Amino acid sequence: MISPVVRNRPSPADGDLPSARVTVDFCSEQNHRYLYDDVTGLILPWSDLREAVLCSYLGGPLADCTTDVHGRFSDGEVASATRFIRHWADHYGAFVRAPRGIPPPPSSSDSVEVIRRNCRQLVLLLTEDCNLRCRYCAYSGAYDNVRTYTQTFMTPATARQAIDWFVSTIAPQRINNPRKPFALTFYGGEPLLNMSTLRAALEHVAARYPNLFVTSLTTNGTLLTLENAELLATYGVNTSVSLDGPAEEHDRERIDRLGRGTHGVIMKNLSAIADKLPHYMEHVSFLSVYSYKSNFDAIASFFNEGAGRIAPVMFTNPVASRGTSYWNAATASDFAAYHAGLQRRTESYKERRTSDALPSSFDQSLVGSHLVQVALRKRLNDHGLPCLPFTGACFPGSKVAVQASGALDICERVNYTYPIGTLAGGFDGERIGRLINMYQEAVVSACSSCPVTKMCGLCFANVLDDGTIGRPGLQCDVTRDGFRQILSDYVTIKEANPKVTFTFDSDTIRLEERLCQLT
Amino acid sequence: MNQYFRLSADCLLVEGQHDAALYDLRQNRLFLLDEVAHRLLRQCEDNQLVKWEELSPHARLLLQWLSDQDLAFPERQPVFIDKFLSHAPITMYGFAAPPPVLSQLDVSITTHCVRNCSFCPAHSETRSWQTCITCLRHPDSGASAVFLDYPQRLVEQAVRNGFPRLHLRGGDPFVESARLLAVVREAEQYPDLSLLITAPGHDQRIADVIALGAHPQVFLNIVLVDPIGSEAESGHGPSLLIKDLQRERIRFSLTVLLSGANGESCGAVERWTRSAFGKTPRFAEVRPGRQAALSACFPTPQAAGKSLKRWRTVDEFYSRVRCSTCLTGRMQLNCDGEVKPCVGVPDLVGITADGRLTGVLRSDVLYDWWEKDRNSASPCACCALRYACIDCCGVAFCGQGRSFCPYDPTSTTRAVDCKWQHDGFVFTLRAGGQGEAVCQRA
Repeated sequence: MISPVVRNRPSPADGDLPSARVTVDFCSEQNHRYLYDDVTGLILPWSDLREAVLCSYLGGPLADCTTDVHGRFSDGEVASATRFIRHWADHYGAFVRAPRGIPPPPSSSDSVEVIRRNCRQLVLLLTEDCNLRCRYCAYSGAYDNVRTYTQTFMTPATARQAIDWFVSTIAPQRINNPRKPFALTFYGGEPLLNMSTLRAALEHVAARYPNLFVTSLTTNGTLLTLENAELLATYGVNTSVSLDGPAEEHDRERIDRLGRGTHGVIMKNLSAIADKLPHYMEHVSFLSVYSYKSNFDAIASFFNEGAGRIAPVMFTNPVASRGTSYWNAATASDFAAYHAGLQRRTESYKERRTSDALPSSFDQSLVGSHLVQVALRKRLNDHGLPCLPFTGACFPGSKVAVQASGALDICERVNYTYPIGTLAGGFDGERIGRLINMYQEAVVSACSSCPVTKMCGLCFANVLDDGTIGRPGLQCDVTRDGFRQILSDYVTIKEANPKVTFTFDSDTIRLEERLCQLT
Repeated sequence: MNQYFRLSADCLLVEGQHDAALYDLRQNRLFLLDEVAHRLLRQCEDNQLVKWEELSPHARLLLQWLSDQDLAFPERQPVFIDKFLSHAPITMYGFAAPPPVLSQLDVSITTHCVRNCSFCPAHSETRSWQTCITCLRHPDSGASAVFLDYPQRLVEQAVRNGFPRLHLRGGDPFVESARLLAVVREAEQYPDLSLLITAPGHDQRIADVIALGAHPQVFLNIVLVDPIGSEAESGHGPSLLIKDLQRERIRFSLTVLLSGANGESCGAVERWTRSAFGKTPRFAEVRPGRQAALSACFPTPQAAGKSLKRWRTVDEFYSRVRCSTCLTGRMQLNCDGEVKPCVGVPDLVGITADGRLTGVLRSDVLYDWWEKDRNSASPCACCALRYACIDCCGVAFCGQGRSFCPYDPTSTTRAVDCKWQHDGFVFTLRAGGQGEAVCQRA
């Protein structure tokens, strides 16, 4: 029999949104039950009895427990479970979150000041043109509200102006954080189509702002000739090459204007660089995109045994699903094969982590990056900006992408339908405020009842439609369901190898888990 | 009844080489464990089945007591315990690096001093503890006095870089009262900046000390050297100064620097200062020779008891885990422009010719020092009390052994059998007793 417990939850006043239970119930592969609590960010050992006690404790509409514990537990066990629930609920406010008002965005001038104190990355979109016609590309015309290829190129003067403007913008940070480097990223289209501006920008930075920037560039690799690589090596530019695996995988989607595969030319370029500029290869990494068509085992073999030996895989991403019909062509068997492939890589990753072996960079990127999201999740006292308390959205302008025209965008990943200023006029604080307002209304207002806010990475790039913010809809459901499995994988590894740690590395940022091994 | 028994997520078992302690994060309590309790809880944390009928009565009582206190919970199966963290366990580098959190800029504005302490001119040939709250000079100054050329600029530099407090020390900073006054006047533009002035206590320039000490931004720290048997009894002690400061209601603290010259102990000195001035002093110590044992303050842990300090919040506890509380966010600028992480540490982290600190704040070496935590110093790394101790760790980080600390974590003497000074947050937990209470105040 469940002992009665005193409810300390205030009932919501009439008209208020009700409080919501924000937990995820899951099991490890050992079939041990756990509860993730999104208030504290804690993963707690769980059981039928604790679930029943919690339901009794919460009462009201939150008491949806149907577990019958009568006769199954001793009085001592019930008392212990009650103490457990009360400990976390009474002292830490666990299990239930009450909706709270979200303050409006800062004023126009305050917004600009927030940016000046937080801006960390300048992205130069050197061109809107590309020499390839990858089938899944965001600029292929297959996506709603996204531009297609144009013959627009950034001039050297615009690049230099953007760099000078950015340095003046971040001046307040350089006073009290003098060793902080900033990121300068070259993006496109294909940025190596605009070598004159790339060279001008690198020379300008070296002459005017030595040691201020960590530079990086994303390329399709087909124009990464020895000559171009020598320039990038001279300036220490971290280079990410898009490569989707072996030729049969890569060439299916990544084709040139004539429909020819591009794997051969990329590998030829990289082989030449590895031979002539081996020190530069330390700056090279791969980006890999996958879809329901991908053969994960073939890709893993390629990166683990072939290309992975000359450079690591830094990021893997699925083909985007929002605003495109790309995934509609997948059949049920395609999806089954897709999930089975992912599952095999996950099992391989888990096997290595539980035996204290390091996973390959491809598996680390494909599987481990999700587990890192769990390991590095926010905790009780991590609250984010007052006006953006949920999701992973940056304050607009924390990262700034400059188009060839001089328009300022919030990121290279958005669809460029909502610029937040111009190089000539600087940031438009009022537009930034309106953007945050739209995001609050369409996204954040529904977050207080979400049980995975402390791991959510949703941001403006995921929901910006044609100059407006759309509701995330199914994305939230997918995120919630996905995290149940990721939590299970994380705990399964931790059960088998409690000392395992998770780290995240990239070319420009390093996050480190330090505090899990306290004893 | 056999079951698994795991410590709560907000209760940490911290182990040393031979010892262990439980840290109750929520209620800010520290429990020192006897060997039986340590072994039992280690088994629990290793997910080993607890066979209730095989436990001694005292061990059962211990587990029951932990359960009653919500410090541990029984489980039906082996489980993973996700330890409670107040913030995400990340350190941000690269372009996500946050600005450093600065706490205090220590500046020696002169090496000059009217006193002639035998150990001070050869400071690099001595060993000292809590050096930063004393007037010990660093580096060696000899007889020639050196003065900082740009004291006023330091105020602007401290504020510009975000230091909330500027600590002015010497030698004797009052030998240059005019310069000191200029610094205070400069600081008036920045009312949020606090000024701490550390000076040797003597009865010269009392008017200057009182004039500056009365300034609302200034707090004084007066250093007495071996006060019993020398200053007090010889009649040359700072009695007038201290009595005048008290009469004028000037805010000040007393630091007693013990050199061992008179065989004094901290207990005797504390009784003397309380009797003479009604004040409890802080202690520092200096000994000749780089390998000298620092011991005057703590004859033995059993007899005197080392001081342990309660953490006020979970965040404060984790700040102790992440870094050294007395080094992080601080730097010591000497009057010759050398910058060190702490006056007690000889390592150089930068040089400034004109008082500008931006170059120093770019130094990776400085941040290496700021990121040192108790786990990176011997013997602290093998001490179970490393997160309850906020002792001066400059000596340990210099790699000069453990003799500054009376408690030896490499020995088999357990902390539970020693005496400790604290404000009521330290308890003992015993599972190997013969009838005494499981939990007692230490």
